[in-house]
Amino acid sequence: MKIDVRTIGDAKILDCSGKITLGEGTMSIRNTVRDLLNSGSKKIILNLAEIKYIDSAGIGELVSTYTTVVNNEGRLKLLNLTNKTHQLLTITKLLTVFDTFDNEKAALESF
Amino acid sequence: MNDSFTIMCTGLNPSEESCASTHLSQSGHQVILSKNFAEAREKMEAQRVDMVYFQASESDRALDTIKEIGRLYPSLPVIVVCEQAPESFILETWRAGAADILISPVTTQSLEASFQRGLNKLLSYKSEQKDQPSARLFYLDESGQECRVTIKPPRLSIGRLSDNDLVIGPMGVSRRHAEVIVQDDEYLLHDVGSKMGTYLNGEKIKRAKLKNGDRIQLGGTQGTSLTFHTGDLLQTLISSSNEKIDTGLSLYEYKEIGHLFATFRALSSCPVLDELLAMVVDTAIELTGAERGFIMLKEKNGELIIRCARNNNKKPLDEACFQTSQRVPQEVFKTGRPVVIKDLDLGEESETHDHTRQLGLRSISCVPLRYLTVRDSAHTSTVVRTETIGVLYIDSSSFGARMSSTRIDALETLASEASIAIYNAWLYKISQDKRKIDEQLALAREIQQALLPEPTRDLEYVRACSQNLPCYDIGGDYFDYFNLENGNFGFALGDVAGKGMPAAILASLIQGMFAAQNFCDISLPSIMVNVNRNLVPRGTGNRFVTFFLGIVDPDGNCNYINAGHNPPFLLSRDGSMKELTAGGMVLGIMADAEYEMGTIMMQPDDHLVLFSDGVTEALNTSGEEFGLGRLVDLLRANAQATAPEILSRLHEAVLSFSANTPQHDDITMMVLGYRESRR
Repeated sequence: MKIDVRTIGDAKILDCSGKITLGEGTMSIRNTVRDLLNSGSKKIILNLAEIKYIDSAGIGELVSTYTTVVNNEGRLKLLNLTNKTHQLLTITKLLTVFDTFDNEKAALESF
Repeated sequence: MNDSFTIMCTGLNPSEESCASTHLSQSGHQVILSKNFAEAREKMEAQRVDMVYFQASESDRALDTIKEIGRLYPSLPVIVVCEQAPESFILETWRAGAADILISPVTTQSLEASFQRGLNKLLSYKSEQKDQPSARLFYLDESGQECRVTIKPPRLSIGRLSDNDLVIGPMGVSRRHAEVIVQDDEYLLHDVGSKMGTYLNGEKIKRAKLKNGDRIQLGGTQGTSLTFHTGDLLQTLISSSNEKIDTGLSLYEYKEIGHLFATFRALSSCPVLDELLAMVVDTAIELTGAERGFIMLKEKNGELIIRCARNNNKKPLDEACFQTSQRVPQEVFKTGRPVVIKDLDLGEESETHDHTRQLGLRSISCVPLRYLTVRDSAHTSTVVRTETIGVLYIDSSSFGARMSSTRIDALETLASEASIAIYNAWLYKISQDKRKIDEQLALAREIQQALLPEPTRDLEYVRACSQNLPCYDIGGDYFDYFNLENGNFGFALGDVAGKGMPAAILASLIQGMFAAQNFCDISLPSIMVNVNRNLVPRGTGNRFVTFFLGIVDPDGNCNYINAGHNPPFLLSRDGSMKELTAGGMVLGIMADAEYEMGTIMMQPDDHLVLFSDGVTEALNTSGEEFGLGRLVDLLRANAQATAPEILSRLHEAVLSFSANTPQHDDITMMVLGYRESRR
C-alpha cells in the first residue's frame, strides 16, 4: 500500500496503489486523510486505479474514511474503481454511499 | 544444538528416573539406566558415556563415589541429584567435582538447566587439557555477535590465514598476526611480525604478559578488539575458598559461597521469571553489599528495560527510586564487558559520570547477562557464541569497599548462571503463555460451536443443512435457524468482515441480537433497521457485517432481506437460478440505513443456497478464486439433488479446489430444500 498526495487547486488527490486489506495499508489511508483534514483540506479524492487487491475489511476502511471526512465537514470522492472494488461495493450495497467517478476532471468538478 | 549425547542415570529414585529418561530421550539423547555405581561402571566399560546423573544422599558414601568417578573419568560431568540437604553437604558435593546439583523433585526445567551446565563442563574439558587453567579470548565476529575462543597450550595463533587457530578477517589484521603462548601457567601475547602491529590496552607491544581483562587490539587502536579472560569463575571461587578452608574459612565467606550455591541450585528449579529475577538481584545485593539492584533485559525492539528492581531489604523498589545510571548499563550491554566503578568522586571516572554522580551514586557494578550457544567447532578450538540478553546492575551511595575482585568474579558467575536460568524461564513462559492462549481458544471454539444450532434442521415442509468452517479456531461467520411460533421457519447467515477472535466476538453479539427478535409480529425491515441502529454506535470501526435473513412459510412464501451479503441462489429443479438481492447495505456502518424486503415463491424441490464469501474466494495453488462461475455450474449440475447432497458436493468441490492451500477466510454455507421429494 502506497499513497502519493497531489494537490490540484484546493482539492487533494490520493493516488493509492497496492492492497487494501485488514492490517495492511488500511491505517495509512485513514491517517493520511486525517492529516489532510487537520491541515484544512476538505476536498479529498481517493484514486483507486492501482489497487491490486481489496477485501471486505478494506471496504470497511473506505467507509470509515468516508465517515471521518464527512464528520470533519469535508467531502470524499472515489476515482477509478477497479472491477473488484466495484463488485464488492455493489454486493455490500455501499456503492450508493460514495460519489464515484472514472475520470479525474469530472471528480474535481463535482465538488 | 542438535548433537545427541549418551547419558547414564545411576541410582535415581523411580520418579526421578522416569522424569529424567523421558525428558532426555525426548531431547534426542540416549539414556542408560543403572541401579548403582558398580553397575554403571560395568556398563561404562562397554560404552562411552557423556554425562552422569547420580543420586546421592547425605548418609551414604556419595561424596567418595563422586570423587571416584572424577578420578576414573576426569572429563565426565556428574550431575548429582539429592534430597533437600544442608548447605555444607551441597558445598562438599560441589567440591567433590559435581557439575551441578539438583534437588528433588526434579523438573524438566531443572533437568534442562543442569544438562546445559553439564554440557558446558564437557565442552570446556574437551577444549582444554586437564589441570590447565582455562583462558579465553572474547571478540565480535563479522556479524557483531560475540564469540569466545579457548586458548589451548602450547599456543593460539591469530591471523587472517585459515590455518590459524583463530581466524580473523578484517582489514589491518595480517595473515599471521599474533599468538598467545601458554608458558608455566602464564599467557604471553606475542606479535609474530604483523604489518600494522599488536596493541595491549592501547600500547603497541612486541611481547607482553596477559592479565585477566586485558584488551588486545590488532592493527591499531581502532582495529579488531579481543578481550582476555582467565579461569573458570566458579572454579576460581572454589579454589580460593579451598585454600582458605585449611586455614579456616571465615564464617562470612563460607556463608557467602554457600549462598551462591544455594542460589544456583534454586535457579535451576525456578521456572517463574519474576521470582527468578528477584532471587538473582537479592543474591547480587547480598554478595556485594550494595543498596539496590536491577535486572534489565533486552526487549524485542532491542531496548533495555528494567524488569526487576530490588533494595537491600529484599523488597521491590518504588518506581520513584528507579533512577539509575543510563550510561553504564548501556555500555555493558553493548560491549558485553563488566564495568565496576568503585568511587565516582575520585579519579578519571568522575567527569564522564557527572550525571550518575548527581544521582547520589558512589559505586556501581554492572555485569552482562549472557547466554552461551555452542555453534560449531571451527579449527581446533571450540567456538562459543554468546548472546547478551540484558545486564545485572547494582549500585550504592556508599564507597565500594566490599567490591573485591573475588566478589566481582562471583557476580559474573552469578550473572552467567542467571542467564541460563532466565533463558530457560523465558522459553518456559512462552510455552506456558501459548498453552494458556490455546486453552482459551479451544474453550472459545467450543462455545462458538455450541451457540450454533445443530447443522441439520428437518421440519415437515423444509429441510435446512449448513456447514461452518472457521479459518482459525473460531471465526466471524455464523448461521442460525428459528422455529417460529406461527409455524414459519427463519434462517440466517452472517459474515463479519475479518476473521479470528475479533470477528468472532462481533458475530456472537449479532447472533444474540437477532435471536432476541420477535419475527412473528415485527416486519423484517424493522428488525434489520433496529439491529443496525444498535450496532452502529458500538463503534466496531471498519468491521461491518454482511447478513442474510429469510423466513419461509408452509406454503412456500419466502420473505427475505439481504444486507450487503453475497446474493444467495434460488435453485429450481429444472436448473434455473435466481439471485436474492433485495435488502440494503451491510450492517454496522450507517445508522440511517434502510432495508427493503424481497419475496419469492418456492416450489416443491426448490432449494435456497446461501454462502459466505469464503466459498467464492477460496483460492487454489495458483492463486485463482473458486468464483461464482464454478459455484453456478455446480449448483446447476445438482439441481435435482437433495439439500444434504448439494451441501456435501459444494463442500467437497471447494475443498478439492483449494487443496494444498491454507484456508484464508471463514467458510459457511447453507442449503435449504422446500418440500423435497425424498428418494
